[in-house]
Amino acid sequence: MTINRAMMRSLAAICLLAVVAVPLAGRAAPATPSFPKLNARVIDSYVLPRFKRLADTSGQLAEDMARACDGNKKAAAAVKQDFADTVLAWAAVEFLRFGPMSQIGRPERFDFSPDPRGVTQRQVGALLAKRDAAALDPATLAKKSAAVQGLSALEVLLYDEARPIIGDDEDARYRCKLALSMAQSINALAREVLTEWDGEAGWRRRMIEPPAGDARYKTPEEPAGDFARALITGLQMIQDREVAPMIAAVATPDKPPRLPFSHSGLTARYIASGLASTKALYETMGLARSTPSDKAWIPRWITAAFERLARDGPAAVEGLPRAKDNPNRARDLRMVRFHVEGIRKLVGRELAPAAGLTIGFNELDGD
Amino acid sequence: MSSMAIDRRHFLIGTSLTFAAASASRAFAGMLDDGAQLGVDAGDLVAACRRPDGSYSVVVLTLDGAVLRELPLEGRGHDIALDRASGQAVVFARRPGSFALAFDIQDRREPVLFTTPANRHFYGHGVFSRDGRLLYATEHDNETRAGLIGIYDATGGYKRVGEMPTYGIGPHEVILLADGKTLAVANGGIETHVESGMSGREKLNLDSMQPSLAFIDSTTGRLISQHMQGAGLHKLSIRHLAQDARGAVWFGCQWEGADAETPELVGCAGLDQPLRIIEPSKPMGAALAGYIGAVAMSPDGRIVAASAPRAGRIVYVDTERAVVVGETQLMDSCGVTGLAPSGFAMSSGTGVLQADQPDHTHLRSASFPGRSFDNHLRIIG
Repeated sequence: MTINRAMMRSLAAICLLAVVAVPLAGRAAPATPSFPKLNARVIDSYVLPRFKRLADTSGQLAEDMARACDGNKKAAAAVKQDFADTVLAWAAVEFLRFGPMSQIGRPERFDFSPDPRGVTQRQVGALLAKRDAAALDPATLAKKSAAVQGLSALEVLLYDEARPIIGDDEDARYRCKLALSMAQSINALAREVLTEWDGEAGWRRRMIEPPAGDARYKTPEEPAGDFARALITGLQMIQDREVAPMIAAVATPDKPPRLPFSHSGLTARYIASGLASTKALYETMGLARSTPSDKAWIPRWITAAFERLARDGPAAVEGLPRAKDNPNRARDLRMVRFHVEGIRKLVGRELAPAAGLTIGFNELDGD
Repeated sequence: MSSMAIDRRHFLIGTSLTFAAASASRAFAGMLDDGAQLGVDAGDLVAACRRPDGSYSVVVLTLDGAVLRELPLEGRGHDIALDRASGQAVVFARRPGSFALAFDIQDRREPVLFTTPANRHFYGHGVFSRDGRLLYATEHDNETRAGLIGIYDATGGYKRVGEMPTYGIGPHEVILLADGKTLAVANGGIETHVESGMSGREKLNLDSMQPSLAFIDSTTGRLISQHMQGAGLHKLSIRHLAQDARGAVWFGCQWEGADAETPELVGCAGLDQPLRIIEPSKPMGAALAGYIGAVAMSPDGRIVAASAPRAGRIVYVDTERAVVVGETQLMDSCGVTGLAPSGFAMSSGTGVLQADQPDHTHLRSASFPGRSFDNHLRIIG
């Protein structure tokens, strides 16, 4: 990737925008969207299909794990692909912390991350050392530490090349059963989340048009604001947890960064899945439709940025960057950061407010 | 000073919430391991926040993205007072809340929830005495509508042991000066009142408000000196404070007048020095949306940071030269605290924790998805 003149102009525009931060009040702007319609569109065509996919992929994983532990070699061979499918399905929803995923501790049970102090490795190691029989029951495992039941915990077991889960010794048998318990626990959690979206009192209904007296939402604008916040947060997470550590690693090659799912080699695909999901959320929300005419360049810029990320992002984040291996890597990673941050700022500062969505917390009724 | 009794309603709320807070703390430990917790180190941070499910809590965090402790709160919290020697922290309800939760940073003791008397509420801020034995909290007298400092016994279950005036209306942040004795209080000047049908946040006196910075002897309650805003600036509410290495008290303001007339928002004063609003080479008040949400001093006492959440900016002022030397852009950023050796950590309403230096060096940032950090952030020393 290269920084061309158009990009430089865009960068200048974003910087100017960020500094001036002109409020949009008082300008001619298109009408704000119908929030119940926006909410229904986002939930039905974006959110639910992705949680359904997480339930499906984790279900397949649990099924193949069970057969693998029973000695089926074909199933054993499929487990790592199932795991990859589940991890990528999770990457598409991990930043959606509303509805059933707003429950405290639930996202951590899917994946205890970030884990800067290495709790997952330590606690999974302790379970293995004890061969804790209780952990083999997924319902019991679900009540244990969040760090021993999610995808990163399962990665510890599946990608320990020195001690594979398929073998004739007692240790391997325990490891396989524990991995199965984890897969079943993840699948049960995904199905639980889907169930909570459903029904008269389910989150789908509550978030499309909140009923009077709803404990979480007072107006249909509030769930729409949560979707916009999730979009901004999703981009911020990719920047903070993945791209920034990679950029830092270029300068300090002796200190490999902690990156999600690096043991399974899924980091780059995980990032790409997250980016694709933020792109889909942006498009499904239709924020561009509420953009005032004098800001028409913003949705155009965002669309081009998402396309650029989809095209060039995966190669930029593939493998652990080493400056000596590829002198262009740092520049390529900075390009990813540039586009991710640009989209995030423009959505947060311009498009969401133009659509009548409240993003801020401290900026509102201040103190 | 006078003593007081906690009425039954407050007592019951306090009792139940104390248990709730304690059990939640244990529950968090259980989320990680049976009984084991992650240690809290110097440089970790503490802030009040709104959680993804819409409830509120106070959290101890790391700059690499981990939540080390979390205690639920019955309502929205605001600032946290820290006694570094004992490891005690107190998070205050946002005004006009009346609860505060005292907890041990390392979770060595049960949390204690306490409340103001029924006819008082907190303003969200407080500070420990130097020896850690007393806690001073800014409060509102709902009968006289005067500002007060409530005094609580940090060694005795946070029983209220007295109060003293702030010599103004609407006190907000209170800090203890380096002499260990003098309290500086930002009297915001805005009158509010709690009664049925009102939020207690309605501003009742904008035309006549009179903000001030008051210096008070913490041992006697005596007013040492007080500085009022000058002519034309009586709508410039003084809200947040920090003391620099040379002893000057820096303050951040919020403008209650017309947008077109927005003045500069950051200034300094001393016991014998009147309020002085600094004038940057290019006007900044309007660009900061007339609103400073927090101020903090760098560890070396030379740079003051002032956050402007409505503008998504944090500006840095060299206290010796009284000039703006840099800024950070962070959407809905408000909480800010000094970070050794010469930087700042900051938090945002979109769940970001970030560390920057005033020279535009970005150190790191971490996301806490679904969380919104409240206005203030404190570093654990």
